[in-house]
Amino acid sequence: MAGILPGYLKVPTPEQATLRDHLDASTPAPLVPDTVNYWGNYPKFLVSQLKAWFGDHATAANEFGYQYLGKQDGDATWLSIWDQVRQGEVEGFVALGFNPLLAGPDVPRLLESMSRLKWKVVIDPFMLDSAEFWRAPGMNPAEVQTEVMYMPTTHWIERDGSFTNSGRWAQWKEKAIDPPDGVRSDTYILSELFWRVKELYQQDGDDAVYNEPIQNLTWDYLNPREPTLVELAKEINGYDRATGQLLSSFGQLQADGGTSSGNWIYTGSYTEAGNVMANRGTDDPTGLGMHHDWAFSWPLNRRVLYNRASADAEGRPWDQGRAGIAWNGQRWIGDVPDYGATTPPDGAGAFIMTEEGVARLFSNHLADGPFSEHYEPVESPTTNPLHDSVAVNPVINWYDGVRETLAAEGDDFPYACTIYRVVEHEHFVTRNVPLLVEAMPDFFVEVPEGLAAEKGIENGGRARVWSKRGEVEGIAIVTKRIKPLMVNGQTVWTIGIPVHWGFVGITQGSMANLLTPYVGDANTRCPEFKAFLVNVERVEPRTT
Amino acid sequence: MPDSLAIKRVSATSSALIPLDSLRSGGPVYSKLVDISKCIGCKGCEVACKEWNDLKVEQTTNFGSFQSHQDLSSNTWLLMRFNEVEVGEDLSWMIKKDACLHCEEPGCLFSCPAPGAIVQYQNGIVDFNQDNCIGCQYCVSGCPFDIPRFDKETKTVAKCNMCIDRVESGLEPACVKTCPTNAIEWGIKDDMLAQAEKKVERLNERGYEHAALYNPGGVGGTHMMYVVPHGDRLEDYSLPAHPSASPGQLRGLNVLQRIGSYLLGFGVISAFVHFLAVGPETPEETT
Amino acid sequence: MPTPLIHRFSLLERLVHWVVGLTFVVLLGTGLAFAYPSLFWLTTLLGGGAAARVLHPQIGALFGVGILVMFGLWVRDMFLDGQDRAWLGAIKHYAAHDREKVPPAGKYNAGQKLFFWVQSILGIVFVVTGGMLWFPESFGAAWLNTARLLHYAATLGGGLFLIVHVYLGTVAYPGTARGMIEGKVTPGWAKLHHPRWSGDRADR
Repeated sequence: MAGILPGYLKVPTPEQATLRDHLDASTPAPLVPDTVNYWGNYPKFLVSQLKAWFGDHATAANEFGYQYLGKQDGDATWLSIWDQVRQGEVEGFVALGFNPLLAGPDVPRLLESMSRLKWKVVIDPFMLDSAEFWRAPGMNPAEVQTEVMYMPTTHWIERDGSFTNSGRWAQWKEKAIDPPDGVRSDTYILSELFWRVKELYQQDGDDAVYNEPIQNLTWDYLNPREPTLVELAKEINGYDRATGQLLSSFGQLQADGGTSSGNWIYTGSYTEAGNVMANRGTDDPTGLGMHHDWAFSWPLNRRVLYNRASADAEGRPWDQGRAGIAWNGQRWIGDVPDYGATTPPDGAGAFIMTEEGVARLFSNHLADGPFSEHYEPVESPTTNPLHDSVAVNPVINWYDGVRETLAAEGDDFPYACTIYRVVEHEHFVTRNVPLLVEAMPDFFVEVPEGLAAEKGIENGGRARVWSKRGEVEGIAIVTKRIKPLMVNGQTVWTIGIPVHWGFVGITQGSMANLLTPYVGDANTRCPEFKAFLVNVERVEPRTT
Repeated sequence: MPDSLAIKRVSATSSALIPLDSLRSGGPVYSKLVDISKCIGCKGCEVACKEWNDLKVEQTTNFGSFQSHQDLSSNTWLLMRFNEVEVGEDLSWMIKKDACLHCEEPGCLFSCPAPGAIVQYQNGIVDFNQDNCIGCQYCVSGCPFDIPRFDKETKTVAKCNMCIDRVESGLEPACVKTCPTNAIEWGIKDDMLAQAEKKVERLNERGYEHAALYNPGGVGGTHMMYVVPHGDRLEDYSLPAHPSASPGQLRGLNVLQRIGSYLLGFGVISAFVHFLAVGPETPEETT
Repeated sequence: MPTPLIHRFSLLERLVHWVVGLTFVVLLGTGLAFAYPSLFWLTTLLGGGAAARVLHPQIGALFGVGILVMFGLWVRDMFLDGQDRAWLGAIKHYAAHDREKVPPAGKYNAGQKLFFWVQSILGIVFVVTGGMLWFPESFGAAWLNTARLLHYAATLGGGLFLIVHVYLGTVAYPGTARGMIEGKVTPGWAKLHHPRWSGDRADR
């Protein structure tokens, strides 16, 4: 994620000249007595991470290698990275296991930006549109000077390793099939990259800029040319550096360099007792589907975050029928408490990660805060009923030339449009899986029944949808499921478009992001994929 | 042979008329229970069915629906049929798992002229044995649910076999295993009936006053049953309201065939008796 | 000196008769195999169930063509006249070989004429319903089930007719089969069975 190190630690900024500066800025002080204020442990997490990265080269004397870290000034979110490419500030781009061309908004703009790269590396099990962006519809390959390198790599089904789901369960899985001949793992590819860069730096000796962090980076694996994922999992979990023993809790992490941990929230996932992520027990004593013996849930195998809040001031579950945790007089029972196991109910505030120990109704960390507010999308069929003079979020970042790509007064884009995924497909991977292509074969456009009738669009026929930025065309699904909205007294139709198609794979179709605006939200700059304006028309069936 | 594969009926044999479990009863009787109200239409069951049974991938085209194929085929034994229906003020996206219902009185088996091409097990599964199939497709017209499909290449018919190879090993069918919402359950039929009753009650409480169990008596009940939220609109789920294992024409045929065998025998005997009675009539030749 | 024989059936007539006759026997055998599990073994004669399923309709098509040609060849002679109706009234005397009480028949007696009409109707039923069952994908279940019922009913009629036909043509009336094999009958046979018929020219 942009702007953070693993485990939600912060990327140093140029103003934070020393480790002390960074730790002071990143470690909150408790605002009230008796609060856990867990981020008070920040120095232990960061120093342990530096020890994992630089090992014996990270000492108190050299600020544990703090100066080896890059300092980030400015924004490094998706939209900003590609804006920098567009401005010619970025020479090369490595896409490891994802498909940048289809993943971001405003594909026409992205294609322009991508063409300005000098080189681009795509590492993926499948050929991707991103590796062949020069032949995207409407592109002239002769005009694209970017050198693109595609490196086929193993699919997760061809390796062991872990998945972490959105419920925070890290589940270890075994390799199911061998990779095709000649296909190397991503750890092999990254190791080769590392060793070759390191050798080049060695040749340049002390003249090389940024030599020290590269020479001092720990690469302590049995086969340093291809670390195993078990080795990486143990490194992420962390060790006691004196005894070499794997740690079982991030409570053991130290700020003095005595411990290392690649990512503190995963400490406890691979302990001396074994690989907790590979556990497959199905017991569920709480009856709430917590399954503590199944895999590892970060942090500390806790299944519900802030579970202390599910019990009242005396530690009795709010809902006796569904007791997440309960205080039995001596200790908390049920889920792994996010509270000291023997800390009495009145010992501390329930919200252990905040300085005040209680939940927040507002946040001073929001660019458009502290309170929630309603703003219309930048392209909206209506005005903001709350405050029509400031309809759109006033603090979003406007990248160069984006305003011109939005529907303006007088343009004919009367319909709202949204893009989404379908259950049959997983992003841009399963378009290569025949059984799933069979289940959901073609790109389509969902048009509400009433609008389809107005436009003469027939179910199973074809429709074209265009925004100010681009257009898509596909089979029309005329549906009753998308109902017209009554907004400010006017009927607003919504059109739906799935995202899984591109010009590579065994099923091909329009890229949904040809339509979407290059605008991100004011805080995370998450693109505004879900609401924009379009027009639609019937297209006569193709004669082939 | 394990109890799980004790045979009940075999097509075109006497057991089609006198089921073998009347002589020797086997092990447990199973049923699937499909709770349509819990289905999210992900089609995971379709894919699992093809994976487990090694069925060929077919080229499909979106025809204006989330439904994958227009129809079942000899390589698609399970099809989720999607139908958007307005029920009063509400919209119901009816998604029906279309596959063999494994009738207790299987019309396909009764129609089949090829001995051993269709076998019904005492556990409730009705399975086609393509080795014995002659490709007449009488089972297709004999099925009240329009399930069996003819394969033009193999010249045999095919349909869901309830993953009989899994069931005999004590596993649930692949579609049941894969269903992410437990909309498809598997178990002893009596337990499934009890489960269905609870589900119908719950749906009634939620305002689906016509919620019903689909386990039609016309075919002796089925071993894939549905809990249908709108039991008064079976046609919208393409479920026949009164399916019959032996429609009028086939009942007529049955009776006629029995009479016919006597008539033909009677014909031969009559001719013989006539011959004995009056003898040959030889013409006189004048020379 | 051998008795001079009378021409009764041309080569084409005999050929068509035997095509229809032999195909019908094979069709009846396989058809009964499909109708009666206990007779399923009959399909072995054609190479097994699946082969029988493939051959039955193909042979049926040949049968259909034969029936059609036969109809064209004989329809002119098959209309019933007044004497035929009288013949029908006296059919029990015919069965009892009581010839004096049987009105004289022409080339075909009324029984044969009726046989012709019934077999033509059965032929249509066979061909139409058989065609449906040959290509079942094009029809709904109710149509197909009806077709099966009618196809079997026709089989039953045809089967009974075949018994009567073969019995009368062979053991019951010696000399009859000769007409359909050699194409010629004896004058005595003609006088007995078809007194009003004086014989056909050899080249007919």
